[in-house]
Amino acid sequence: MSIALPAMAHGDHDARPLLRRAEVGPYTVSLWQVYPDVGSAIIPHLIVMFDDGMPDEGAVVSVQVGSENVHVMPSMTTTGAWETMSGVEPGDVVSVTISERGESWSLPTVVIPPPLTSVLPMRALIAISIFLATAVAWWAAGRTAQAWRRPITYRNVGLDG
Amino acid sequence: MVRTSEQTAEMGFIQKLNGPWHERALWIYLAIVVLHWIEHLFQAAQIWIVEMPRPEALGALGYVFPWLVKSEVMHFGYALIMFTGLVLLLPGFRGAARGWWLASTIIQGWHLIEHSTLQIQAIVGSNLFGSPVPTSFLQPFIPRPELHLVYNLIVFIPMIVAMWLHTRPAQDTLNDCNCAAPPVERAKAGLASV
Repeated sequence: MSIALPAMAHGDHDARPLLRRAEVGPYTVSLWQVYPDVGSAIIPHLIVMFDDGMPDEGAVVSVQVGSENVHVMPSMTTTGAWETMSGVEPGDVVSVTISERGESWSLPTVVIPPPLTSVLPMRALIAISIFLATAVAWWAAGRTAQAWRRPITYRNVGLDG
Repeated sequence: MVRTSEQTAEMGFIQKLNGPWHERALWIYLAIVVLHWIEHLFQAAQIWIVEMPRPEALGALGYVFPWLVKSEVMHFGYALIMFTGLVLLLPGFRGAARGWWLASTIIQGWHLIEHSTLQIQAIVGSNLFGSPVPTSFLQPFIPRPELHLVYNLIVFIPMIVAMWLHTRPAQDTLNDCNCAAPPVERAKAGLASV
């Protein structure tokens, strides 16, 4: 498993839900996988979201990946969430337990699905875009020089067309 | 027809911008758009072609100012500038060019709504779809970096088509600006009577 940075409150991360609005004890909880928005390399970690706000003080969230406990703590950047500091791999089995005042409730076990793949042919799209940008930059350079050689002249400006 | 000095003095900013200033304003605006587009493509190439880890793929400016890449304000600010430019320069377009420019303006309007929503989420700290991170409306269907790259592309294409149509020589009789006027070298003698 690889180490991932905490999810930023803003910026360049994407997230996908692994489990939505599961009722566990008094709480409604969702499990999210948050990952930097890379094309192929992916270092996701997990966020346990309390959909109705933070749990009571004294509640403890524990996360197991396979048979191993992983470090999880209240998120510093996301309200109503606890997050792990380590990533997970596809096929990892994740169990989440919430304990409070001697009681504990578990979320249904989740198996990490394969990473998201691009739904668009990104390399082809980028190649076309680079070609287009280069052609436009070349055209614009010539036309801009031409525009500055021409004195500013006033025509019949009606702006009613 | 050439305006008299009294008439030109009466022209407001928008009229001047879409008349005598339209040509220069358009090329300055395009330069800003192309520079921003190149920055996006530079970063996209780092991610999808070079396959750099995302934290290292900061684009060209991001190497000097890394906070730029992570700031919703920067993305929102650029979307606002781009939309404002499209709206301000719209009245100068005529015919089919106007339709393409309008299409670009509408798409950029939606792009701006998306960035405004992201900005609000970052400020309020509450995100769409119960997500732990600020989320675009269409993000459940297309991941964010791809989505916003596509937004920029589908704003750029009709904008370029509009500019190309607007600067065709045949458009010159329709235009109130000099955008489609013949190059100055060839038309120098007749310039005074434009």
